[in-house]
Amino acid sequence: MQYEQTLLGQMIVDNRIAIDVNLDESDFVSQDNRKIFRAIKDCIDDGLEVDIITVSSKIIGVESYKIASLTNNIVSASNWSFYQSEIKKASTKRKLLQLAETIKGEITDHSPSDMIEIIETEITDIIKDFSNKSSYSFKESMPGFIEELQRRYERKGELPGISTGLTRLDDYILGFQKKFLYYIGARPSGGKSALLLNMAIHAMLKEKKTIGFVSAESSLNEILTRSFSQTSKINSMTLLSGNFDKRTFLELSTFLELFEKSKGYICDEPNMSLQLMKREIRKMVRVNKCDIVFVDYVQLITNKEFDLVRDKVSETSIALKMLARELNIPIVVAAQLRRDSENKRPKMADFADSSQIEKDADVAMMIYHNKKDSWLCIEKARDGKTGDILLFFKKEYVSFHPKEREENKSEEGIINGKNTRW
Amino acid sequence: MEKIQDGKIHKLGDLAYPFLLGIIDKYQANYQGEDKMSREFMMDEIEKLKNYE
Repeated sequence: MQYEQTLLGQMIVDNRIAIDVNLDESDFVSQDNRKIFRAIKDCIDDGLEVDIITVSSKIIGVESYKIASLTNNIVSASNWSFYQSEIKKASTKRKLLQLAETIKGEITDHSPSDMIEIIETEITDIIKDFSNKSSYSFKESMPGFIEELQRRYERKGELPGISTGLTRLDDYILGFQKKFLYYIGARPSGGKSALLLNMAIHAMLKEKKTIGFVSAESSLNEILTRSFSQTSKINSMTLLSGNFDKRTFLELSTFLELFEKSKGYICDEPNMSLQLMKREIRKMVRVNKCDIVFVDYVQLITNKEFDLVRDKVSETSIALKMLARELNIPIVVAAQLRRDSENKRPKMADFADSSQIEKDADVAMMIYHNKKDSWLCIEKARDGKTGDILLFFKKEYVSFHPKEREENKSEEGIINGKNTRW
Repeated sequence: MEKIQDGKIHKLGDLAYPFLLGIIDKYQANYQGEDKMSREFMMDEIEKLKNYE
Protein backbone atom coordinates (compact mmCIF):
# COMPACT_ATOMS: atom_id res chain seq x y z
CA MET A 1 0.00 0.00 0.00
CA GLN A 2 2.85 2.39 0.86
CA TYR A 3 4.43 1.79 -2.56
CA GLU A 4 1.10 2.44 -4.27
CA GLN A 5 0.59 5.76 -2.50
CA THR A 6 4.18 6.88 -3.11
CA LEU A 7 3.98 6.07 -6.82
CA LEU A 8 0.61 7.83 -7.21
CA GLY A 9 2.10 10.89 -5.41
CA GLN A 10 5.08 10.84 -7.79
CA MET A 11 2.75 10.60 -10.80
CA ILE A 12 0.91 13.74 -9.64
CA VAL A 13 4.13 15.63 -8.90
CA ASP A 14 5.92 14.67 -12.14
CA ASN A 15 3.92 14.33 -15.36
CA ARG A 16 6.71 12.40 -17.10
CA ILE A 17 6.33 9.61 -14.56
CA ALA A 18 2.56 9.65 -15.03
CA ILE A 19 3.11 9.07 -18.75
CA ASP A 20 5.83 6.40 -18.35
CA VAL A 21 4.21 4.23 -15.65
CA ASN A 22 3.20 0.94 -17.26
CA LEU A 23 0.62 -0.49 -14.86
CA ASP A 24 -3.06 -1.24 -14.99
CA GLU A 25 -5.59 -0.07 -12.39
CA SER A 26 -6.12 -3.73 -11.44
CA ASP A 27 -2.49 -3.79 -10.22
CA PHE A 28 -3.51 -1.64 -7.23
CA VAL A 29 -4.97 -3.21 -4.08
CA SER A 30 -7.11 -0.38 -2.72
CA GLN A 31 -10.22 0.76 -4.59
CA ASP A 32 -9.37 4.42 -3.90
CA ASN A 33 -5.89 4.00 -5.33
CA ARG A 34 -7.39 2.35 -8.44
CA LYS A 35 -9.71 5.30 -8.94
CA ILE A 36 -6.88 7.82 -8.50
CA PHE A 37 -4.66 5.91 -10.95
CA ARG A 38 -7.50 5.81 -13.52
CA ALA A 39 -8.10 9.56 -13.05
CA ILE A 40 -4.40 10.34 -13.64
CA LYS A 41 -4.41 8.27 -16.84
CA ASP A 42 -7.68 9.99 -17.94
CA CYS A 43 -6.00 13.38 -17.47
CA ILE A 44 -3.14 12.26 -19.73
CA ASP A 45 -5.54 10.86 -22.33
CA ASP A 46 -7.41 14.20 -22.34
CA GLY A 47 -4.17 16.17 -22.70
CA LEU A 48 -4.45 17.77 -19.25
CA GLU A 49 -1.56 18.62 -16.94
CA VAL A 50 -1.71 16.19 -14.00
CA ASP A 51 -2.15 17.95 -10.65
CA ILE A 52 -4.35 17.68 -7.57
CA ILE A 53 -7.14 19.80 -9.08
CA THR A 54 -7.34 18.03 -12.47
CA VAL A 55 -7.14 14.59 -10.89
CA SER A 56 -9.86 15.51 -8.35
CA SER A 57 -12.09 16.68 -11.20
CA LYS A 58 -11.97 13.22 -12.76
CA ILE A 59 -12.93 11.28 -9.63
CA ILE A 60 -16.21 10.66 -7.92
CA GLY A 61 -16.18 9.22 -4.41
CA VAL A 62 -12.63 10.02 -3.29
CA GLU A 63 -12.12 13.03 -1.03
CA SER A 64 -9.76 15.71 -2.43
CA TYR A 65 -7.71 15.77 0.77
CA LYS A 66 -6.81 12.09 0.16
CA ILE A 67 -5.42 13.00 -3.26
CA ALA A 68 -3.58 16.01 -1.84
CA SER A 69 -2.09 13.89 0.97
CA LEU A 70 -0.42 11.63 -1.59
CA THR A 71 2.00 14.40 -2.53
CA ASN A 72 2.83 15.42 1.07
CA ASN A 73 5.77 13.13 1.60
CA ILE A 74 7.19 13.15 -1.92
CA VAL A 75 10.65 14.64 -1.70
CA SER A 76 11.94 13.29 -4.97
CA ALA A 77 10.66 11.58 -8.08
CA SER A 78 13.47 9.02 -8.07
CA ASN A 79 12.93 5.30 -7.54
CA TRP A 80 9.52 5.35 -9.20
CA SER A 81 10.45 2.35 -11.36
CA PHE A 82 11.33 0.40 -8.19
CA TYR A 83 7.89 1.17 -6.71
CA GLN A 84 6.26 0.22 -10.02
CA SER A 85 8.12 -3.09 -10.08
CA GLU A 86 7.14 -3.92 -6.46
CA ILE A 87 3.48 -3.11 -7.19
CA LYS A 88 3.59 -5.36 -10.29
CA LYS A 89 5.16 -8.24 -8.32
CA ALA A 90 2.51 -8.01 -5.59
CA SER A 91 -0.24 -7.79 -8.22
CA THR A 92 1.10 -10.88 -10.02
CA LYS A 93 1.16 -12.84 -6.75
CA ARG A 94 -2.48 -11.87 -6.11
CA LYS A 95 -3.47 -12.96 -9.62
CA LEU A 96 -1.70 -16.32 -9.16
CA LEU A 97 -3.46 -16.87 -5.84
CA GLN A 98 -6.77 -15.99 -7.47
CA LEU A 99 -6.04 -18.51 -10.23
CA ALA A 100 -5.28 -21.18 -7.63
CA GLU A 101 -8.68 -20.45 -6.02
CA THR A 102 -10.39 -20.68 -9.42
CA ILE A 103 -8.75 -24.05 -10.10
CA LYS A 104 -9.81 -25.35 -6.68
CA GLY A 105 -13.37 -24.08 -7.08
CA GLU A 106 -14.00 -25.16 -10.66
CA ILE A 107 -12.02 -28.36 -11.05
CA THR A 108 -15.03 -30.59 -10.44
CA ASP A 109 -17.25 -28.71 -12.93
CA HIS A 110 -15.01 -29.10 -15.98
CA SER A 111 -13.31 -31.91 -17.90
CA PRO A 112 -9.52 -32.08 -17.39
CA SER A 113 -8.87 -30.83 -20.95
CA ASP A 114 -11.21 -27.83 -20.53
CA MET A 115 -9.63 -27.07 -17.17
CA ILE A 116 -6.13 -27.19 -18.67
CA GLU A 117 -7.29 -24.80 -21.41
CA ILE A 118 -8.69 -22.38 -18.80
CA ILE A 119 -5.51 -22.51 -16.73
CA GLU A 120 -3.32 -22.13 -19.78
CA THR A 121 -5.21 -19.07 -21.03
CA GLU A 122 -5.13 -17.45 -17.59
CA ILE A 123 -1.47 -18.21 -16.96
CA THR A 124 -0.50 -16.94 -20.42
CA ASP A 125 -2.24 -13.64 -19.68
CA ILE A 126 -0.46 -13.37 -16.32
CA ILE A 127 2.93 -14.12 -17.89
CA LYS A 128 2.35 -11.59 -20.68
CA ASP A 129 1.21 -8.99 -18.19
CA PHE A 130 4.17 -9.59 -15.88
CA SER A 131 6.99 -9.85 -18.38
CA ASN A 132 6.02 -7.91 -21.49
CA LYS A 133 5.94 -4.26 -22.04
CA SER A 134 3.70 -3.42 -24.95
CA SER A 135 5.50 -0.40 -26.34
CA TYR A 136 8.94 1.15 -26.15
CA SER A 137 10.17 4.62 -26.93
CA PHE A 138 13.03 4.96 -29.42
CA LYS A 139 15.21 6.15 -26.53
CA GLU A 140 14.43 2.98 -24.55
CA SER A 141 15.02 0.74 -27.57
CA MET A 142 18.38 2.17 -28.59
CA PRO A 143 20.66 0.51 -25.96
CA GLY A 144 19.26 -2.95 -26.79
CA PHE A 145 19.55 -2.29 -30.51
CA ILE A 146 23.16 -1.13 -30.18
CA GLU A 147 23.97 -4.20 -28.06
CA GLU A 148 22.48 -6.42 -30.79
CA LEU A 149 24.57 -4.66 -33.46
CA GLN A 150 27.63 -5.15 -31.24
CA ARG A 151 26.82 -8.88 -30.88
CA ARG A 152 26.40 -9.20 -34.64
CA TYR A 153 29.73 -7.44 -35.21
CA GLU A 154 31.47 -9.76 -32.73
CA ARG A 155 29.96 -12.81 -34.40
CA LYS A 156 31.67 -11.66 -37.62
CA GLY A 157 29.20 -12.98 -40.15
CA GLU A 158 27.72 -15.73 -37.98
CA LEU A 159 24.04 -16.30 -38.62
CA PRO A 160 21.62 -14.45 -36.34
CA GLY A 161 19.32 -17.48 -36.46
CA ILE A 162 19.57 -21.28 -36.29
CA SER A 163 21.10 -22.69 -39.48
CA THR A 164 18.63 -24.39 -41.82
CA GLY A 165 21.29 -26.91 -42.91
CA LEU A 166 21.17 -25.48 -46.45
CA THR A 167 23.99 -22.95 -46.71
CA ARG A 168 22.51 -21.11 -49.64
CA LEU A 169 19.15 -20.82 -47.91
CA ASP A 170 20.92 -19.41 -44.84
CA ASP A 171 22.44 -16.76 -47.11
CA TYR A 172 18.94 -15.73 -48.15
CA ILE A 173 17.02 -15.84 -44.86
CA LEU A 174 19.85 -15.69 -42.23
CA GLY A 175 18.76 -18.90 -40.50
CA PHE A 176 15.64 -19.43 -38.39
CA GLN A 177 15.22 -16.37 -36.21
CA LYS A 178 13.32 -15.93 -32.96
CA LYS A 179 9.69 -14.76 -33.15
CA PHE A 180 9.54 -15.53 -36.90
CA LEU A 181 6.99 -17.80 -38.55
CA TYR A 182 8.32 -19.81 -41.53
CA TYR A 183 6.16 -21.60 -44.08
CA ILE A 184 7.37 -24.35 -46.41
CA GLY A 185 4.81 -25.16 -49.07
CA ALA A 186 4.61 -28.07 -51.50
CA ARG A 187 2.09 -30.22 -53.33
CA PRO A 188 1.30 -33.64 -51.75
CA SER A 189 4.39 -35.89 -51.92
CA GLY A 190 6.38 -32.82 -52.90
CA GLY A 191 8.82 -33.28 -50.02
CA LYS A 192 7.57 -30.77 -47.44
CA SER A 193 7.71 -33.28 -44.55
CA ALA A 194 11.13 -34.49 -45.71
CA LEU A 195 12.55 -30.97 -45.88
CA LEU A 196 11.01 -30.05 -42.53
CA LEU A 197 12.58 -33.12 -40.92
CA ASN A 198 15.89 -32.39 -42.70
CA MET A 199 15.97 -29.01 -41.06
CA ALA A 200 14.87 -30.33 -37.66
CA ILE A 201 17.55 -33.05 -37.63
CA HIS A 202 20.20 -30.54 -38.65
CA ALA A 203 19.17 -28.11 -35.88
CA MET A 204 19.21 -30.95 -33.34
CA LEU A 205 22.34 -32.90 -34.28
CA LYS A 206 24.59 -30.30 -35.90
CA GLU A 207 23.50 -27.08 -34.22
CA LYS A 208 22.91 -28.87 -30.86
CA LYS A 209 19.55 -27.18 -30.40
CA THR A 210 16.57 -28.58 -28.56
CA ILE A 211 13.87 -29.08 -31.14
CA GLY A 212 10.15 -29.83 -31.04
CA PHE A 213 8.46 -31.65 -33.92
CA VAL A 214 4.67 -31.61 -34.04
CA SER A 215 3.30 -33.96 -36.66
CA ALA A 216 -0.34 -34.32 -37.58
CA GLU A 217 0.70 -36.31 -40.65
CA SER A 218 3.48 -38.82 -39.96
CA SER A 219 3.54 -41.42 -37.19
CA LEU A 220 6.34 -41.64 -34.67
CA ASN A 221 7.74 -44.69 -36.47
CA GLU A 222 7.82 -42.91 -39.83
CA ILE A 223 9.57 -39.93 -38.27
CA LEU A 224 12.15 -42.18 -36.62
CA THR A 225 12.77 -44.17 -39.80
CA ARG A 226 13.28 -40.98 -41.80
CA SER A 227 15.49 -39.49 -39.06
CA PHE A 228 17.78 -42.54 -38.96
CA SER A 229 17.80 -42.80 -42.74
CA GLN A 230 18.67 -39.12 -43.27
CA THR A 231 21.40 -39.21 -40.64
CA SER A 232 23.01 -42.56 -41.48
CA LYS A 233 22.40 -42.28 -45.24
CA ILE A 234 20.97 -45.78 -45.18
CA ASN A 235 18.04 -46.29 -47.53
CA SER A 236 14.73 -45.96 -45.66
CA MET A 237 13.32 -48.98 -47.55
CA THR A 238 16.28 -51.04 -46.30
CA LEU A 239 15.42 -50.04 -42.74
CA LEU A 240 11.74 -50.81 -43.19
CA SER A 241 12.33 -54.20 -44.80
CA GLY A 242 15.09 -55.29 -42.41
CA ASN A 243 16.98 -56.48 -45.46
CA PHE A 244 20.50 -55.22 -44.77
CA ASP A 245 24.00 -56.63 -44.35
CA LYS A 246 26.31 -56.67 -41.33
CA ARG A 247 28.22 -53.54 -42.37
CA THR A 248 25.01 -51.54 -42.74
CA PHE A 249 23.82 -52.69 -39.31
CA LEU A 250 27.09 -51.74 -37.63
CA GLU A 251 26.96 -48.34 -39.32
CA LEU A 252 23.38 -47.84 -38.27
CA SER A 253 23.99 -48.74 -34.65
CA THR A 254 26.74 -46.12 -34.34
CA PHE A 255 24.01 -43.49 -34.63
CA LEU A 256 22.38 -44.76 -31.45
CA GLU A 257 24.64 -42.65 -29.25
CA LEU A 258 24.07 -39.58 -31.39
CA PHE A 259 20.31 -39.90 -31.10
CA GLU A 260 20.25 -40.88 -27.44
CA LYS A 261 22.22 -37.78 -26.54
CA SER A 262 20.17 -35.50 -28.78
CA LYS A 263 17.49 -33.21 -27.48
CA GLY A 264 14.43 -33.63 -29.63
CA TYR A 265 10.76 -33.93 -28.71
CA ILE A 266 8.05 -35.33 -30.94
CA CYS A 267 4.28 -35.08 -30.77
CA ASP A 268 2.56 -37.30 -33.36
CA GLU A 269 -1.15 -36.87 -32.97
CA PRO A 270 -3.47 -37.65 -35.88
CA ASN A 271 -6.56 -35.34 -35.94
CA MET A 272 -4.66 -32.81 -33.90
CA SER A 273 -6.87 -29.95 -32.76
CA LEU A 274 -5.75 -26.34 -32.64
CA GLN A 275 -6.21 -26.41 -28.87
CA LEU A 276 -3.96 -29.45 -28.51
CA MET A 277 -1.34 -28.08 -30.90
CA LYS A 278 -1.07 -24.85 -28.92
CA ARG A 279 -0.83 -26.73 -25.63
CA GLU A 280 1.87 -29.12 -26.88
CA ILE A 281 3.96 -26.34 -28.42
CA ARG A 282 3.78 -24.31 -25.19
CA LYS A 283 4.77 -27.43 -23.23
CA MET A 284 7.67 -28.13 -25.61
CA VAL A 285 9.05 -24.65 -25.05
CA ARG A 286 8.25 -24.04 -21.38
CA VAL A 287 8.83 -27.56 -20.01
CA ASN A 288 11.20 -29.18 -22.52
CA LYS A 289 13.01 -25.90 -23.32
CA CYS A 290 12.80 -26.28 -27.10
CA ASP A 291 14.67 -23.61 -29.07
CA ILE A 292 12.65 -24.15 -32.25
CA VAL A 293 9.43 -25.96 -33.18
CA PHE A 294 8.46 -27.58 -36.49
CA VAL A 295 4.82 -28.28 -37.43
CA ASP A 296 3.75 -30.75 -40.14
CA TYR A 297 1.34 -29.50 -41.57
CA VAL A 298 -1.00 -26.54 -41.14
CA GLN A 299 -4.03 -27.77 -43.12
CA LEU A 300 -4.25 -30.93 -40.97
CA ILE A 301 -4.89 -29.06 -37.72
CA THR A 302 -8.57 -29.47 -36.86
CA ASN A 303 -10.91 -26.93 -35.28
CA LYS A 304 -14.53 -27.69 -34.39
CA GLU A 305 -15.41 -24.03 -34.06
CA PHE A 306 -15.35 -23.49 -37.82
CA ASP A 307 -17.09 -25.26 -40.68
CA LEU A 308 -15.08 -23.80 -43.54
CA VAL A 309 -11.58 -25.19 -44.10
CA ARG A 310 -10.40 -21.69 -45.01
CA ASP A 311 -11.44 -20.35 -41.59
CA LYS A 312 -9.79 -23.27 -39.77
CA VAL A 313 -6.48 -22.75 -41.56
CA SER A 314 -6.60 -18.99 -41.00
CA GLU A 315 -7.21 -19.48 -37.27
CA THR A 316 -4.32 -21.98 -37.04
CA SER A 317 -1.99 -19.65 -38.90
CA ILE A 318 -2.84 -16.70 -36.63
CA ALA A 319 -2.31 -18.93 -33.56
CA LEU A 320 1.11 -20.05 -34.84
CA LYS A 321 2.13 -16.45 -35.46
CA MET A 322 1.10 -15.50 -31.92
CA LEU A 323 2.91 -18.52 -30.43
CA ALA A 324 6.19 -17.64 -32.17
CA ARG A 325 6.03 -14.16 -30.65
CA GLU A 326 4.76 -15.25 -27.23
CA LEU A 327 7.34 -18.03 -26.82
CA ASN A 328 10.18 -16.10 -28.48
CA ILE A 329 11.16 -18.97 -30.81
CA PRO A 330 11.13 -19.62 -34.56
CA ILE A 331 8.26 -21.84 -35.73
CA VAL A 332 8.65 -23.63 -39.05
CA VAL A 333 5.44 -24.92 -40.61
CA ALA A 334 4.76 -27.13 -43.61
CA ALA A 335 1.76 -26.22 -45.75
CA GLN A 336 0.07 -27.72 -48.75
CA LEU A 337 -0.12 -25.85 -52.04
CA ARG A 338 -3.19 -25.68 -54.29
CA ARG A 339 -3.64 -28.22 -57.07
CA ASP A 340 -3.45 -25.58 -59.80
CA SER A 341 0.09 -24.70 -58.70
CA GLU A 342 1.32 -27.97 -60.19
CA ASN A 343 3.72 -27.88 -63.15
CA LYS A 344 4.57 -24.22 -62.69
CA ARG A 345 6.68 -22.20 -60.35
CA PRO A 346 4.46 -21.63 -57.28
CA LYS A 347 3.65 -18.18 -55.91
CA MET A 348 2.51 -16.81 -52.55
CA ALA A 349 -1.13 -17.06 -53.53
CA ASP A 350 -0.75 -20.81 -54.07
CA PHE A 351 -0.93 -21.76 -50.39
CA ALA A 352 -4.06 -23.92 -50.14
CA ASP A 353 -7.16 -22.87 -48.22
CA SER A 354 -6.01 -19.55 -46.82
CA SER A 355 -4.72 -16.16 -47.81
CA GLN A 356 -3.94 -15.67 -44.12
CA ILE A 357 -0.75 -17.74 -44.55
CA GLU A 358 0.80 -15.18 -46.88
CA LYS A 359 -0.03 -12.42 -44.38
CA ASP A 360 1.30 -14.27 -41.32
CA ALA A 361 4.48 -15.75 -42.83
CA ASP A 362 7.66 -13.86 -42.06
CA VAL A 363 9.35 -16.17 -44.54
CA ALA A 364 7.49 -18.23 -47.17
CA MET A 365 9.23 -20.86 -49.29
CA MET A 366 7.85 -23.37 -51.75
CA ILE A 367 9.24 -26.60 -53.15
CA TYR A 368 8.91 -26.95 -56.88
CA HIS A 369 9.95 -29.90 -59.06
CA ASN A 370 10.27 -29.64 -62.81
CA LYS A 371 11.36 -32.46 -65.11
CA LYS A 372 15.03 -32.08 -64.23
CA ASP A 373 15.41 -30.26 -60.94
CA SER A 374 13.98 -29.48 -57.54
CA TRP A 375 13.83 -25.87 -56.41
CA LEU A 376 13.13 -24.04 -53.22
CA CYS A 377 11.45 -20.76 -54.16
CA ILE A 378 11.69 -18.08 -51.46
CA GLU A 379 8.72 -15.83 -52.14
CA LYS A 380 8.75 -13.74 -48.97
CA ALA A 381 11.67 -13.05 -46.61
CA ARG A 382 11.48 -10.49 -43.85
CA ASP A 383 15.00 -9.19 -43.16
CA GLY A 384 16.33 -11.34 -46.01
CA LYS A 385 16.09 -11.64 -49.75
CA THR A 386 13.86 -13.61 -52.05
CA GLY A 387 15.01 -15.93 -54.84
CA ASP A 388 15.20 -19.55 -55.95
CA ILE A 389 17.61 -22.24 -54.74
CA LEU A 390 18.44 -25.40 -56.60
CA LEU A 391 18.04 -28.51 -54.42
CA PHE A 392 18.89 -32.15 -54.82
CA PHE A 393 16.35 -34.62 -53.48
CA LYS A 394 17.76 -38.03 -52.49
CA LYS A 395 14.72 -40.25 -52.58
CA GLU A 396 16.41 -43.23 -50.90
CA TYR A 397 17.23 -41.21 -47.76
CA VAL A 398 14.12 -38.98 -48.08
CA SER A 399 16.53 -36.07 -47.84
CA PHE A 400 17.28 -32.72 -49.50
CA HIS A 401 20.75 -31.35 -50.25
CA PRO A 402 21.89 -28.15 -51.91
CA LYS A 403 22.89 -28.76 -55.50
CA GLU A 404 26.14 -27.18 -56.56
CA ARG A 405 24.92 -25.31 -59.55
CA GLU A 406 24.38 -21.65 -59.99
CA GLU A 407 20.80 -20.41 -59.84
CA ASN A 408 19.34 -18.66 -62.86
CA LYS A 409 20.74 -21.31 -65.20
CA SER A 410 17.89 -23.77 -65.24
CA GLU A 411 17.21 -24.88 -68.78
CA GLU A 412 13.51 -24.49 -68.21
CA GLY A 413 14.13 -20.98 -66.95
CA ILE A 414 11.71 -21.03 -64.05
CA ILE A 415 13.19 -17.90 -62.62
CA ASN A 416 13.09 -15.67 -65.64
CA GLY A 417 15.33 -13.09 -64.09
CA LYS A 418 13.06 -12.41 -61.12
CA ASN A 419 15.16 -13.97 -58.38
CA THR A 420 17.45 -12.32 -55.87
CA ARG A 421 15.43 -9.24 -55.21
CA TRP A 422 15.96 -7.52 -51.90
CA MET B 1 6.34 -47.85 -30.29
CA GLU B 2 6.80 -47.46 -26.56
CA LYS B 3 5.31 -44.33 -25.08
CA ILE B 4 8.02 -42.68 -23.03
CA GLN B 5 6.49 -39.65 -21.40
CA ASP B 6 3.16 -38.85 -19.87
CA GLY B 7 1.08 -36.76 -22.19
CA LYS B 8 1.62 -36.64 -25.90
CA ILE B 9 5.25 -35.57 -26.19
CA HIS B 10 7.92 -38.21 -26.77
CA LYS B 11 11.63 -37.69 -26.25
CA LEU B 12 13.46 -38.69 -29.42
CA GLY B 13 16.57 -39.80 -27.52
CA ASP B 14 14.52 -42.31 -25.51
CA LEU B 15 12.98 -43.77 -28.66
CA ALA B 16 16.25 -44.52 -30.47
CA TYR B 17 17.01 -47.76 -28.56
CA PRO B 18 13.50 -49.29 -28.92
CA PHE B 19 13.58 -48.25 -32.59
CA LEU B 20 16.81 -50.18 -33.17
CA LEU B 21 15.34 -53.20 -31.39
CA GLY B 22 12.43 -53.00 -33.87
CA ILE B 23 14.92 -52.95 -36.76
CA ILE B 24 16.59 -56.07 -35.35
CA ASP B 25 13.19 -57.80 -35.20
CA LYS B 26 12.54 -56.90 -38.85
CA TYR B 27 15.98 -58.19 -39.84
CA GLN B 28 15.51 -61.44 -37.95
CA ALA B 29 12.11 -61.96 -39.57
CA ASN B 30 13.06 -61.01 -43.14
CA TYR B 31 16.76 -61.49 -43.87
CA GLN B 32 17.39 -64.69 -45.80
CA GLY B 33 21.15 -64.44 -46.60
CA GLU B 34 23.66 -67.07 -45.49
CA ASP B 35 25.62 -64.43 -43.59
CA LYS B 36 22.64 -63.69 -41.33
CA MET B 37 23.71 -62.22 -37.97
CA SER B 38 22.33 -63.82 -34.83
CA ARG B 39 20.04 -61.79 -32.58
CA GLU B 40 22.58 -62.20 -29.75
CA PHE B 41 25.37 -60.69 -31.86
CA MET B 42 23.19 -57.73 -32.84
CA MET B 43 22.10 -57.14 -29.27
CA ASP B 44 25.73 -57.31 -28.06
CA GLU B 45 26.72 -54.67 -30.62
CA ILE B 46 23.98 -52.35 -29.44
CA GLU B 47 24.74 -52.98 -25.77
CA LYS B 48 28.40 -52.17 -26.44
CA LEU B 49 27.29 -48.85 -27.87
CA LYS B 50 24.98 -48.21 -24.96
CA ASN B 51 27.91 -48.37 -22.54
CA TYR B 52 29.53 -45.28 -23.93
CA GLU B 53 29.28 -43.29 -20.71
